[in-house]
Amino acid sequence: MSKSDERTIHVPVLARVEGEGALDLSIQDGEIKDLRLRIFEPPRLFEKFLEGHSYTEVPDMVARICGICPVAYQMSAIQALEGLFDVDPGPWVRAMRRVFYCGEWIQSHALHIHLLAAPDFLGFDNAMAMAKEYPEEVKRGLRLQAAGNQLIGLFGGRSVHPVGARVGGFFHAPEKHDVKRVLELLKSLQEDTEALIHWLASFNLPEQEQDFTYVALHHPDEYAMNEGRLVSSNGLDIPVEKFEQHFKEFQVPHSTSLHASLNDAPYLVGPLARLNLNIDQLPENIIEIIKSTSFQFPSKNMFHSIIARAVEIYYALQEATRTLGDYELPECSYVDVKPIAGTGYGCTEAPRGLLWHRYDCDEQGKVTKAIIVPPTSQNQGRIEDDLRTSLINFGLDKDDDALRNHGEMVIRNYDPCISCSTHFLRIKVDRS
Amino acid sequence: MTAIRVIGIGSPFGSDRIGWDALDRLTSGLDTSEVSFISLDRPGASLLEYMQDVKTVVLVDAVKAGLEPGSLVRLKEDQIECSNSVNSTHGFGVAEAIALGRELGNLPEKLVLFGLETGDDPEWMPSSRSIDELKELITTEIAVCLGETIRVN
Repeated sequence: MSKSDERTIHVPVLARVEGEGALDLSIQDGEIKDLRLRIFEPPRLFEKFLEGHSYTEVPDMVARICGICPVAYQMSAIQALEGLFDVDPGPWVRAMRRVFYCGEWIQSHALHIHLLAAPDFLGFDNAMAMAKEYPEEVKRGLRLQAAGNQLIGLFGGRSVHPVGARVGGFFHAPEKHDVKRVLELLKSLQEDTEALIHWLASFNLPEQEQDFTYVALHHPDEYAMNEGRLVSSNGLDIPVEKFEQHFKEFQVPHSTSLHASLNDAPYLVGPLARLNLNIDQLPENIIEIIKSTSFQFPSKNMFHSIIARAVEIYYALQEATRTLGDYELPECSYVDVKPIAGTGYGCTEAPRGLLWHRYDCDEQGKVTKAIIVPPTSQNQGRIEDDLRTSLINFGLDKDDDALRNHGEMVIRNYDPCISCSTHFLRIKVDRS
Repeated sequence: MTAIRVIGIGSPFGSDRIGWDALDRLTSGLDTSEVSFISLDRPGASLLEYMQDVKTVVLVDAVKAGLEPGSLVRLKEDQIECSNSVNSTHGFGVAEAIALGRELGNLPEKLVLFGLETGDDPEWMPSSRSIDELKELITTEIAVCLGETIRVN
């Protein structure tokens, strides 16, 4: 590329309910001059909506933030409020919340693998095109997604925007015959899940290691999902209450969504971060399956995220099956809650990564202030770093369509909740 | 197993709830045990789950087809096309779910979508008369499918 060669690639996007964004890329003299993942989605103001509402309304309100991971929003909020009110819901609720969360991991990961990631790696434009050649694999993915939905519905009353969770526990305990029905379904999918991992292991994933920090919850006794301490690949180990002292949210001019940093640098959250930090806590049979593939964890190849998602599907299926295996109806599915004034913190592992909540409440339990830090905002800086590295490795001399397609693939790999914004329909190229 | 399932699709936001409202009126006035009803909130690919084990599915949804707001449309399965590739779990809508079901051979024997045009104005809401007309159309469709005259209260 000559000195005068300069390309500016704007990737405008369709506006959708879940997000609006674009990728701007300027290339000069064979190098990236500027790269911005622009999020121009109007602020949804959920944190302000919550102010003045009773703690009893919070779980149903935050469930509306995301149609794919409502359980995560409910669980982080409830953990924060129960911590504030000094509520211990007991072992039954704790175990069933974990099962509830397993459902969300299964359905969300199955969707991402089969509708987004696999078509990318197999060279299809979309899942419909892939389904022509891989119908059984796509059907398997939909079976897994449906099983995840069944688990969510078991405790949530419905799988989309569930309404069963409350501060103190669940409004209702599932009947034994309903649990048995779902349990049989989960057991029937064990082979499907193993087959999924082996299928993905046969993919020719791009070889590309990157240097980045990753952060996840860690629990001493289990693969962290619903509780734990915040740990990182760089030795961070803090309680969730200390989040604000180490992580910084900040505004960037090109995005209406806040970015986040740890020690002033981007970081990764999500399934790859979790597997990298907590792989030793997986059951032996799952570790053996990972060993039977060519993949090794910890991994710094972001494209191994698809493997991490499949491993977590297998784990969640197995964990839910184990937990529901000796299911008993509790005397009551919740404990009473007496609100007090103060501040509570909650952090759980949404399918896409850390979801941190903070609530300030008055003595009646009305929210006076809410702060929600979702995984997608935490990953934005990492996505931009990844795009710079990946597009250079891919070859900046490639044509605009090729660069656009590769950029989309990199972004989709994170399954951002703004992923609707990566639905690039048009590309505008300015050359000077 | 019921012969017909009527699925209202929508969200709580503005005119996007038309499918739910139409179903509410149907379920309160239709007297038949051979029809099941369900309202879904943006089900995405999960829509395929709800179309299993039933011969006929009637979908009811708000649509944007460039028509006059309030216009009613009836689309057969082969008239429902997804015009764009899908790159997001969030962006997987009714048309994409049907396209995927078509590729997988997972669609019911008969699939019909009734839509009410909402236009581009987010504040626009249909008149009660429009919803009644939609209800009448669906009721007629159900009657034809059942091969009988059904009583509407």
